[in-house]
Amino acid sequence: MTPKLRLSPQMAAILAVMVVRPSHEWYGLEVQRAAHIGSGTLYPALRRLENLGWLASQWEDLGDDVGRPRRRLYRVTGEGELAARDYLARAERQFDAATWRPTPGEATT
Amino acid sequence: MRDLVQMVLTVPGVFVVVVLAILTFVLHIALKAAGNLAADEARGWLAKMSRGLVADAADRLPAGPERERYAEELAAELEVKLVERPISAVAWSIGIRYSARALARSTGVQLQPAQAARSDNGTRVAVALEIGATPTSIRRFASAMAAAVTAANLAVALGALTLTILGTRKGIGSVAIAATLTGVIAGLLFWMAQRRK
Repeated sequence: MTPKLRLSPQMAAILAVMVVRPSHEWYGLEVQRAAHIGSGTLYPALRRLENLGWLASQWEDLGDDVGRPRRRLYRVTGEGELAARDYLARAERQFDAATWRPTPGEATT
Repeated sequence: MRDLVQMVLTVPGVFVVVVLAILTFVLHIALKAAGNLAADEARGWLAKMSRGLVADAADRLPAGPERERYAEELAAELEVKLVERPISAVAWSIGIRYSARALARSTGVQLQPAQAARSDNGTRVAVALEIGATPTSIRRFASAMAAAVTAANLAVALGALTLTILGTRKGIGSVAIAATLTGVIAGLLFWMAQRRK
């Protein structure tokens, strides 16, 4: 059972994007573009997820003649994937409950 | 052929039209070249500004592996941004710079004060004191410079826009955009300097 955590919307957006491709190694800009979040919130959010153990990061392995600096790559950990799916499912249920409206057939008397 | 040219040029008004056409052509070439040069210059400055902002954000983390990690990580991301879109790279870098505090918090360390962050700042302060500069005089100077740059850039932008509208010069459009942007950035710096007074 995952402890009840309150994630920021940015952290939730990052997770939602990254669990779609759990084995993929993402670099910061890639996550930013996919999750549509600002640069100012991206790196602190990634770091907090890393601190939770939901993400792991490592330096990109570049050859000598690539001619650009190496990037930091992030991927969802096994624990992170389970926790994220659980968290996102719970958030979705809460959203459904909060936005539920009776359909005309279900109208109460 | 020579006679024909001489005959045509003697027709009233034709000479003036030909001279004007040549001048317009030369002006067009000159403006285009100036526009390209200005665009290259602006691109260089945008890159420099972005790198400075990112380096400053990393420098505000305490010296150690965290600072090294983010300095390298952010610099690598910035290089990609700069190749794709230099103007949005500046906006991206501003976001990074203003999130330095949040980044430091997320790493579990205290944010460095701006003065203590750069190792060479001590030297800068010593030089400033030696030439008789005070914090107020430095701020006033920075404020005046920012105001001058704002005014100059906005004047260039206005001129370039006018030329664009009158002459439909493509290169000048980018000069106008670059000048407006740098003018606005300098204006923001001026406003920030004023606010701190």
